[in-house]
Amino acid sequence: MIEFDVQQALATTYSGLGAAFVVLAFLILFILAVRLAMHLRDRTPPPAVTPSSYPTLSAAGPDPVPASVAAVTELQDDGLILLPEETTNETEANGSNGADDAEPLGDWKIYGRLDAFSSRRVERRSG
Amino acid sequence: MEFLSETGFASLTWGNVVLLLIGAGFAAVAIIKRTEPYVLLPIGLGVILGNLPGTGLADFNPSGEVQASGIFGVIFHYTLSFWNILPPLIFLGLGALTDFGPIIANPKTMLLGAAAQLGIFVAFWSALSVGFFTSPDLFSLKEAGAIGIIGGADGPTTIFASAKLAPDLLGVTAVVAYSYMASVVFIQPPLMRLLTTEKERQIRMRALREVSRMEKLLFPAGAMIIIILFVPESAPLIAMFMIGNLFGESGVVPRLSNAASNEILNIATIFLMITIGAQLSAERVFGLRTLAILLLGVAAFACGTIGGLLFAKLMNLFVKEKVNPLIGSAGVSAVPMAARISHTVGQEANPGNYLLPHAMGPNVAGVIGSAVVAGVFISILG
Repeated sequence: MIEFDVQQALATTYSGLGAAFVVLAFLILFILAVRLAMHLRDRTPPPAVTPSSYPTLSAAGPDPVPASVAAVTELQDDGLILLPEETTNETEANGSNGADDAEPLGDWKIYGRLDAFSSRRVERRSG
Repeated sequence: MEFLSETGFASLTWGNVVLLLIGAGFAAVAIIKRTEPYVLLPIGLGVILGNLPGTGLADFNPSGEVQASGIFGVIFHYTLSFWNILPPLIFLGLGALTDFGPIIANPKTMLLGAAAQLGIFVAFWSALSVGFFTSPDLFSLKEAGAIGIIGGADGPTTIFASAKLAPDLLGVTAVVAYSYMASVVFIQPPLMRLLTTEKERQIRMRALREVSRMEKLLFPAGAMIIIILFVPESAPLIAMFMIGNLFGESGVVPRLSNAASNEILNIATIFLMITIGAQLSAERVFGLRTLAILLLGVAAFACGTIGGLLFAKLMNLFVKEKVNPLIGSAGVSAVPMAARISHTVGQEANPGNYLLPHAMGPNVAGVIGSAVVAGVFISILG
């Protein structure tokens, strides 16, 4: 003979198993939402800059932008070269050309400005 | 002669002797075989102390009479049955030691951690169904809930739920849970081989992506809020688990993280395990109820394993990138033993298979899942 409250036992079962699945499903959604947000953030281009007082790197030299730097460079329409901040720090440590003029810009730093000829060279190499 | 009647020998029962041998066995297995030594050695010593007659070590006198309570009785009363603080403290340390990377990298495996909670409900209903054969019911609803949580294969969660729902069963449920956790290496592999084909066991899973620090920081914070909003009764366990994890992942409080995963975890383990062992006195252990809990415990572990395996197979019908069903059995918690077993059985089928990181996902999800179910049990039955 059953003496326990069957209804309560059933409610406990539905609620317990349901809660386990629902909570973990919500955690999955949370993880996916965070991943999506980070993906969108990474796709967002670096901030546009307007000042024109940054040093112009001359194309007269052999190559104003080292290959390692060009690989991670964001080249702006106006010829400004933006680097991720940590790359700039490495560049500074190596004493590369133009890094002394770098200025903070969020996670990016301005490396310098290229003349039209050098811009094309960097674009070709990055592309 | 009067002296002899005052010694422990005079009141030693056969039940005490059997439990003294069991306690010594636990300690021997821990020391010689090095099987779960952090659990079995203190529990074994506690069992020995709890069964030496006349010590009063596990007694607690609620009247507050001076010097009337034993040390393990006081620890048991205040840290478990009254305030229930030791399991959350252990969760703090476990959180600091946990890496959520695998579940963040492959979140769908979290569902396996939910499916493996099946064992809890099988044990819950089985405990209630024993009433078909006994009258009155052998276990009340609350006691059945405490027994069911054994199926979560998570020691601190079992203790936390038992202390709230059925303090009288705490010693037995805790020892059964830890004993079977130490025995998953015997319980799970036969079921894993029985319920999967050779081809399924050979499935190779792609290496997990690298998880960013930002994701590892956001997950415990977000998970803590989401879980506690859904199941507030799980807060003591979940909050401490996530706080411990945030200490570790933040990287800015190494002293707190180290304290949580070393000093606090170790101190809590010492008190918890010895006290639990001391609760296993002969008068509590020997009886139909204990035998039933032992059988229900193994059924719970087996059904949890089956639930995880079958759900992984079901999942493979719908997902493009197949999962190796062996990782489903790791959803029963028993961290990290169950994950290691998935890995070992997987390597038997395909030596190039490296399932350990994949199995850690459902393994950690199982910890969360069992804490959630325990919270639901406490809120409905408590």
